[in-house]
Amino acid sequence: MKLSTNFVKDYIDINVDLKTLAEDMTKAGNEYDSAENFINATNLVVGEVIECEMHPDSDHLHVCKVNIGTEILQIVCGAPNVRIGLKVIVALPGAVLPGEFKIKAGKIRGIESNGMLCSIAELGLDSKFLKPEDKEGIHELPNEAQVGEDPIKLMQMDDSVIDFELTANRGDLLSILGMAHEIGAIYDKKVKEIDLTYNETKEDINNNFKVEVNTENCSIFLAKRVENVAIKESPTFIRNRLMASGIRPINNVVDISNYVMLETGQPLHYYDADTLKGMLEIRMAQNGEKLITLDEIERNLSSEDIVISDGEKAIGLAGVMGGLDTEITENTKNIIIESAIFEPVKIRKTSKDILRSEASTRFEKGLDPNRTYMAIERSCNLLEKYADAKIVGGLVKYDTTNLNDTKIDITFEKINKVLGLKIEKEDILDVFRKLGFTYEVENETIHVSVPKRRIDITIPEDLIEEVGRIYGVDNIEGKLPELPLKQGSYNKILRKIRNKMIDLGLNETLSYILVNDREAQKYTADEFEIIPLLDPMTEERNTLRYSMIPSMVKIYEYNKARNQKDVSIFEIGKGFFKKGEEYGENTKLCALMTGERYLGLKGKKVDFYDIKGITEEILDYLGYNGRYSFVIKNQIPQEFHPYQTAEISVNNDIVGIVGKLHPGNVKEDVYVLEINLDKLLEKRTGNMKYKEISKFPSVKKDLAVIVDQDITSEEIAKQIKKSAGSLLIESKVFDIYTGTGIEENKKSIAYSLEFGTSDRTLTDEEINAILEKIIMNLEKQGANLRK
Amino acid sequence: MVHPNVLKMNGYDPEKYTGFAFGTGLDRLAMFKYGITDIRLLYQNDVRFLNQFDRMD
Amino acid sequence: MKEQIEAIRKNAIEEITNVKDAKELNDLKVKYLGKKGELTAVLRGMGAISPEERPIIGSLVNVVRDEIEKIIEEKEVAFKAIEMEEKLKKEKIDITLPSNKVKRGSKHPLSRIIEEVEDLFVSMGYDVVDGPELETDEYCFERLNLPKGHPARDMQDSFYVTPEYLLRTQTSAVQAHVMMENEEKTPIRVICPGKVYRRDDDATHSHQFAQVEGLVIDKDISLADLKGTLEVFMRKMLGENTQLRFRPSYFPFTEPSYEVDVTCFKCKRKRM
Repeated sequence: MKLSTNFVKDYIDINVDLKTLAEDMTKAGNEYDSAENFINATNLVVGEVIECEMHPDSDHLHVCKVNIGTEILQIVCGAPNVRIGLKVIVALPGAVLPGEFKIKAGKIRGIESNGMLCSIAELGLDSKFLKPEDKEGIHELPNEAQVGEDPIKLMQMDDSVIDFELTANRGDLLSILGMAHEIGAIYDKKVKEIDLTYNETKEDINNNFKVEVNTENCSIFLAKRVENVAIKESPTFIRNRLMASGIRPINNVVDISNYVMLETGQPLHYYDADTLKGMLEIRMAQNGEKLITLDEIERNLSSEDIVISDGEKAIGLAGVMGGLDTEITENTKNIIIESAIFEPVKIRKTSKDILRSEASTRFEKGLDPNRTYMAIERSCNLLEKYADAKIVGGLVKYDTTNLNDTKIDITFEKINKVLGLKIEKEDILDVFRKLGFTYEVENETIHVSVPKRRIDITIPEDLIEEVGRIYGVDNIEGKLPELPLKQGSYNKILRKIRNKMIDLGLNETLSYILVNDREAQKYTADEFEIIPLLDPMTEERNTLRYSMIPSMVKIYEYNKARNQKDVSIFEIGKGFFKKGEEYGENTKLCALMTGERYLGLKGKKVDFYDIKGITEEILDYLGYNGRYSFVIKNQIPQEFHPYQTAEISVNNDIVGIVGKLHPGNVKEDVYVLEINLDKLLEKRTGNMKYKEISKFPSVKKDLAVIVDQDITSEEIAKQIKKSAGSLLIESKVFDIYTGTGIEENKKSIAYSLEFGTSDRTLTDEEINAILEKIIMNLEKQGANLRK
Repeated sequence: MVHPNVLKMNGYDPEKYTGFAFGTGLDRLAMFKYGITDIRLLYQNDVRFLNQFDRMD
Repeated sequence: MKEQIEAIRKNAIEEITNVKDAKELNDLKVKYLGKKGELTAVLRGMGAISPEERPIIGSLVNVVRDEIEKIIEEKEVAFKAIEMEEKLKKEKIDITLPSNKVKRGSKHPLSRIIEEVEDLFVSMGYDVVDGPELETDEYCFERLNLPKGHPARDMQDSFYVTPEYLLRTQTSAVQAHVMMENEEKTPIRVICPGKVYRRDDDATHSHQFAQVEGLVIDKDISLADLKGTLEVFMRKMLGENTQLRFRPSYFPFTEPSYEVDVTCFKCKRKRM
C-alpha cells in the first residue's frame, strides 16, 4: 500500500518527518519498503524562457536565456517545444534528479549551459502516468506560474509516499482512513470527519431499479443513481494523489471511484446506467460462461466466480473487474454506483485464477460494511463537486451484515500475564482510547467495543496484541520459562551415522529434494509412482525424489563441470514414495564416490570394494556384523552396472543397494550407495558384549583353490565355514590370481584360515582332519586344491 | 504466543494453557557464522566449498 | 719381568689409542688379553721367577689387564656410537615431504548449525522432534489457523503435489503433530529443525531452506519467556552482545505475533 502523506493529512494532523513516521509505523507492526518524496528531485525552480536561438553546431539544440528571478541563466535545451515566453521547470547546477542524475554546469557542443530544462518524465514520474505530450518535450507550466517559485509545489506534487508492506490481517490499512486511525493511535491524534454531504433529487431510485442477490457470497449490495455527469479531467489533487498511490488517472468519474476506494478501502463499481436494463443480479457464474472485462479480454468463468448480471448475461466479475459493455465512457451521462461486499474466499479464488486488481486485494482481506455505505455517500459528495452530478434520491439496498461494534471482554491481569509486563490499568485503557475503541470497566474486566473497521480483532488475544503494539514491548525483561529440569532428547543415531561417514573421509552435502521427472523415474522402484509437483517452478525441479541418487548425481555433475573429479560425498535425507493413494517418505543414507579417494602422493581410484567397505563399516558400526550380506539379484536396476552392483540384505531383507552407475549413462567410474535407514534401523542388533579371549594359541593355515570364474568367493567361504564347523575362528581371502599356471576361465582364491578353541590347543591331527574335510567338500563343488 | 485457536484445534485448553512458538531461518545463521555471502553456495555442494568444513568448530 | 709388563702396557695403550676401527680393536683385544695373548704369556712364564716375586708380578699383571680392558671398553663404546651414527645418517629422510594421510570428511555448515542449535536446546530440556516434509494441507495450514482461502496463505506460496499434500512451507507444521500426538495433553517443550520449501528462488532465497521451530506449552508461559529464550538462543549463535527487539507482526498461528530484530556486535542490524 502506497500512502500519500498529503492524502492522509486530510484526516489527521501530524507534524513528523517522513522517516520518523515510517519508523514509528514499523514499530507498530507496519513495515515499509520505501519512504520518499513523490518527486525525488532537488534544486528545481520555475523559469521563463526569454531568449531562444538555434545552437550554431546543431540542428535541434536551442540556446536559451532563462530568467529564474534571481538571475538569468544560459541553458542549452534539445526539446522541440522550447520557445520564448514559456514557463519551464529549471534544474539548477547541483540539482539531483531521480536515478542519481546530477546536473552540472558545463558546455554542450562548445556552448555554456548552466542547468537543464526538464520534462515530467525526467522528474521520475512512472511512465504509465505520462501523457503523450510528457514524452515529447519539456513540461509547459501554466502562464500564471511565478518565476523563481518551486515548480513541484506549483504542480501540487510536493507529496511524499511511504510504501508499506502490510501484514495479511490488516486489510483496514488498505485505506487512507484506516491509515489515519493507525497514525492517530500512534501519535494520540483524533481522526477528522470525512465529508459525506450532498444534495439529492426527490426521485427514488427504487421506483425503477432493483437488485436481486441470488448467492450467499454477497453479504451487502448497495446501488445509487447519479445523473448528468460531466466527464472531464479530474482536479489536480485527485490526479496527483491517485498517481502517488500508484493508480493511473483516467477521467473525473473513474478517478473518483478509485479515489473513494483509496479513502475508504471500499472498492466501488460505476456502471453506465444507460447500458443497464433496470436491474442488477448477483449470482454465481455458470461453468463456461463468458465475459469481456474492462481490459478487453474475454474471460472464461466457472461456478466458483461471483458475477453481476444485467438480468440476461454477466456484465461484471464481482469484486475483481467490471465488464466492457457497461463501462464508463466519454459519453456516459448517468451512473449506477455499486458498493458491495463479496465473500473473501471466493474473490481470492477468482482473482488467483483470473486476475488480481486493487479491488480484489481489498475484498480478499474483508471489509467493514459501514464503509460500504460511507463509500456511496462519499462518491455522491465528490461526483456532485467535481462532475456536476445530480444525485437521485433513495438507495437500493440488500444488507445481511451486522454493522455493530465487536464486543470483547478481557482482564487487566490476562494482558499483563501474556505479555510478561506490569502495565498500569490507566495505560492499558489509554491504548484502547487511542485506537478509538470504546470500553467499560467492571471490576477487573474491561468490556471493549471494537469498531467494525478493525475486522481483524475478534478475540481477547487480538486486544493483547493491540496493547503490545501501541504501548510497546521494548521494556519486557526476558526470562526463561520456569519448567522442570530434564534432559532433552534428540536423534542420536542419525548424528552418529553422519559422524561415521565423515570419519570415513566423505564430504556431507545438502542437496535439493526436487529433481527432474525423468531422473526421478529412473531411480524409482517399480512398485512406486513418481510424485510430480502440481505447479513446478522449473522443468529441472518438477518432481520429488524417491531415491537420493539423482540428487547426488547432480552434485557430481556440478563438480565435474568445474573440473573437480575427486568426489566422495554422502547425505542423510528424505526420499518420497507414492503407492496408489498413499504418500510417504523415508530417511535415507546415500553416498557417491568417484575419482581418487586419498590425498597425498599415493592416489588410488575408487572402486567397488571401496564403497562396499564404506557400507560394511557403517553396518558393522551400527552393530549388524554377521547379519548382513551382499546379494546379487537377477534383475539389477537399469541405471546400474549389471555386474558391479549388489543389494544389501540385512536379516534377509533388502535395505539398500551399492554399486557402480551404468557406464552407458555416466562415463566416469561412479559408485553409489543408498540405504533406507527407516528400514535398516528397525532391525534389531545385539548388545555389545565382551567375549572371552582364548588362553590357548590358535593355528593358522593357508589354503588356495582353483575354481570357475563365476564362482563367488562367498560361496567358497560358506563351504569352508560349513565344513570346518565351530573350530574355525576366521577365514580371510588374501589373494586372487588368474594368469600363468591357471586355466582360462578359472581363478585361484587363497584363504588364510585360523583355527582354535577356548579350552585347549588343537592338535595337528585335528586340524589336518578339518582341512581334509574342507578340501573334499570343495572338490565336490568343483574346486580343486592349488598345489 | 500460540493462537488460542491453534491450541483448541489440537486438543489443548486455551483457558488452561498458554504457549510460545518461534521460528527462525537457519541458512542465514550458517552464513553469518562462516562468512558465507551467497545462499546458493550452501546448496551447490562444490567440493572446494565442502572441503573447508573438515575441522572442529 | 716388571719391565716386560711395563712394555706390554705401554705398547697396548699406544696401539689401542691409535686403533682405527672395531675390527682392529678386536684384534688388539685378542693380542693382549686373549688366551694366547701377551699378558697370558707373561703369567705362563712366571715359573721362572722366585716364589716371593710371583704374587707381586701376578697382581701387577692384573692391574695392567684391568687398565687395558678399561680402555678397550671405552674404545668399543666410542666405536659403537660412531657406527650407530653412521647407520642413522643413512636413514635420513626429507621430513618436509607430504604425509600419508587419510582424507578427512567434512560436515556441511548447515548440519553444524543444526547440531549446535539442537545441543543448546537439549541442554535446556527441549526434545528435538521431526515431522514429515511431504505434509498434509491439514497439518501445514488448517490446524495452524489457516483455513483454505485465508489471505495469509499468500505469504508462503507452496509446492502442492495433490490438493491435499504439499511440501511443508514451515516447520510450524510439526507443532500440530506434537500437540495431537501428545494424548495426555501434558506440557510441551520441543524444537524442530528441518527443511522447508517455498516457491521462491533468487539470489537471497532458495526454494529449499532450513528452519528451526520452537514450541513451549505450559501454564503461565508469557512473552517474557519467549524473549528470554530467544535471547539465550541468539546470544549463543551471534555473540554475547546481541540485543533483541520485538516488532509486532502477524502470523495466523500466533497472537500476539512478533518479528524479532537482532542487533549484534558483529552484524549491525539484522532481521532473523
